[in-house]
Amino acid sequence: MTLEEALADAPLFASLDRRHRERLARAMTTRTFEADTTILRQGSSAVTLYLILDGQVEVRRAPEAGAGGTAVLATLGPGDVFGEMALLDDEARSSSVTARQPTTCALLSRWEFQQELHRAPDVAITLLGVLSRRVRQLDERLAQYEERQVVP
Amino acid sequence: MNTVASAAVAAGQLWRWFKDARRFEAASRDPEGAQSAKVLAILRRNKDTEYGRAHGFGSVRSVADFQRNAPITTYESLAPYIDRMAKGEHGLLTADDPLMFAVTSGTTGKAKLIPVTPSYLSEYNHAVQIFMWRVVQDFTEGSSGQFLVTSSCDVEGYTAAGIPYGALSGFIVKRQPALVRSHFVLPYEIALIKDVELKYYLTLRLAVEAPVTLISTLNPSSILLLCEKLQTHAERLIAEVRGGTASALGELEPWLAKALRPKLAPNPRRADELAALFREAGELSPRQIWPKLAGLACWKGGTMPLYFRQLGHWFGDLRTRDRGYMASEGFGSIPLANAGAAGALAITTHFYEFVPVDERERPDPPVVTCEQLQPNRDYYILLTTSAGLYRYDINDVIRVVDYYHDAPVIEFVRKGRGITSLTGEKLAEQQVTAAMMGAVESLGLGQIVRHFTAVPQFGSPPRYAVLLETSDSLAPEQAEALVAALDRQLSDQNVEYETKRESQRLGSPILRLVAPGTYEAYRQTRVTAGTPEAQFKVPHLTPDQDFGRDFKVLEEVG
Repeated sequence: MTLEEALADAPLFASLDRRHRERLARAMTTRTFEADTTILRQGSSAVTLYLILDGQVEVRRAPEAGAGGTAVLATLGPGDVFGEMALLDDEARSSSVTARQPTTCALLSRWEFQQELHRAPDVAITLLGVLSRRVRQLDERLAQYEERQVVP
Repeated sequence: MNTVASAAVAAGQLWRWFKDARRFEAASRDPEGAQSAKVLAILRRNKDTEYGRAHGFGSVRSVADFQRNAPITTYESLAPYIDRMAKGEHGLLTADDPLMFAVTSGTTGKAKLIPVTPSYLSEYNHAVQIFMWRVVQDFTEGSSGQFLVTSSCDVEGYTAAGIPYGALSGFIVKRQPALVRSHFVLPYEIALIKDVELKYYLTLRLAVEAPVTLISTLNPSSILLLCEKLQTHAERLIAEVRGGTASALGELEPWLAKALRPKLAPNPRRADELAALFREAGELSPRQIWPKLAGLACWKGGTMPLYFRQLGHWFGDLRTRDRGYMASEGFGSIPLANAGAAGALAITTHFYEFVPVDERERPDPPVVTCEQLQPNRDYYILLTTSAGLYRYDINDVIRVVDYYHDAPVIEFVRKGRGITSLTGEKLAEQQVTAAMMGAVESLGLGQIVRHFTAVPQFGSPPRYAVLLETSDSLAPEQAEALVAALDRQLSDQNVEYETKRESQRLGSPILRLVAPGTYEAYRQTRVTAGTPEAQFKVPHLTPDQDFGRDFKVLEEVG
């Protein structure tokens, strides 16, 4: 599968027309991570978005960077993206991401990503959907946690 | 210079920054190729030096050839060459002669001299230009004012051959084009002041009148100190701004005072503004006196987070860019974003190799190049630069945390030698920093702790003594709680520490509360001894058991 085809299959980028996808594909680089590799660490600097081409990753979050007791937020596979939040708010990584199996990703830097947001507002609208889903997932987890806390 | 000429020079400077940044951008798509080209260029230029001939630089055609021909070095192994260079011999490590020697600011031990050759300066400046280009791009509002950039004295003395030695930061500021320097608040001469109190006062004396848009120092503790001195000297500063005076000039050598005096003129309007702010708030807040302040630039990683977090008291959530992994020995990373303390490996600046930390003790440890680095694994970094440092083990540990195109984004983790082991716990400096931060935050003492240093103490049982200076007195129960919290946090940080504590092979830490001003006096002592002021760092962990023996201890707890 070419990068351009992978972009067409990825929900975040599927709404882009061919010209935009070609441009993004040219800007992207690919990298393969061995199983159990920590790809991103919560609290560290962030300049790149990762689109999974092949493999699977686990997203974990600790109450504070470096603290113990992490919770699994999501398991992501081909077509999913991670690392996108820090590209919008210039904050540190909000969670850690570990490859559960050998995983190949396409990488897109913040600046090329933001250029594309300006050129193709559809990406921004789709991204809002992705972020909204993440917030809902967190809300659900928080509600579950609070329910557990009130059980005598 | 007329307006047209100034604009032309400014455009020229921006063009230089842009050119350097563009070269780096292209290389970030092919770091392996860029690194190979870089090392071959360095070796080609220096193939006829004594070191180059001894290690067959002339026959090197690849990175692998270089790794086969040249050994990993340390300062000690290169020192015989550097000592001869300092005495005036030519063609030893580098084909070009040093313009000066940069003095490194190790926290312990004898100062090291790094030969700053024209080609090394060009490499270093290349990284500075890329950094500046990115800053100008991201802090666009910053260009409407002046930058408060601190630096240290570049001429501490002269070698036997008459070559100056001192701080690289001062040397770089001195050699900036006049137009670039006109954007700096501080004239070069401020860097020459050795007395820390005088230097900070005169820095503020000039800065309170300037439209400061960016404050840039290596160490965040320098910014904190500036903020504190701003309060200590508020009324004196206002009075001297009004009168166009600076009584501190009287304490300088006459030639230095003469160079600075033209910078002063009566400014009653600014004095009125400052006085009104001071009356209203009861302090001189840096955000209020410099309302166009767009950002800060300072180190944020390694042992700096304790100080960095304290900046919030004065600057709120003002954007802060890390200054990058850099030392007199070389420039390692160029921060691209404000979050965190990492930056893209400076692949067009020097040549870098890496040794995995967990394999360093093997008889023949693997050495990898940048394209082989694994994310979030710790490595020792080796530098090859045009300063004549070849495969130089600087004893720093870095980690890859992200990628910019194909270039690794690295952050400084710790000094390799910042490890102590009383009973096999192998405690690292960044663990002590993290433990202290965790302890003070859990007790709500984050703004009180100013400086600290953990010192191993042999005894029965052995333990760590923590010298601590606070901005306010600690109640006995607070001090006891801090000892307990620190002990818990150290256990959380280091499993071996925890095991040793449980088995009572290691005793609970003790706190030694030192007198206010102790660390400022220590800073002055180090600066007087030759440490560049801008690079001064308080060690949070030292293997030197005699550290702080002359500190005035007010109380011992634990």
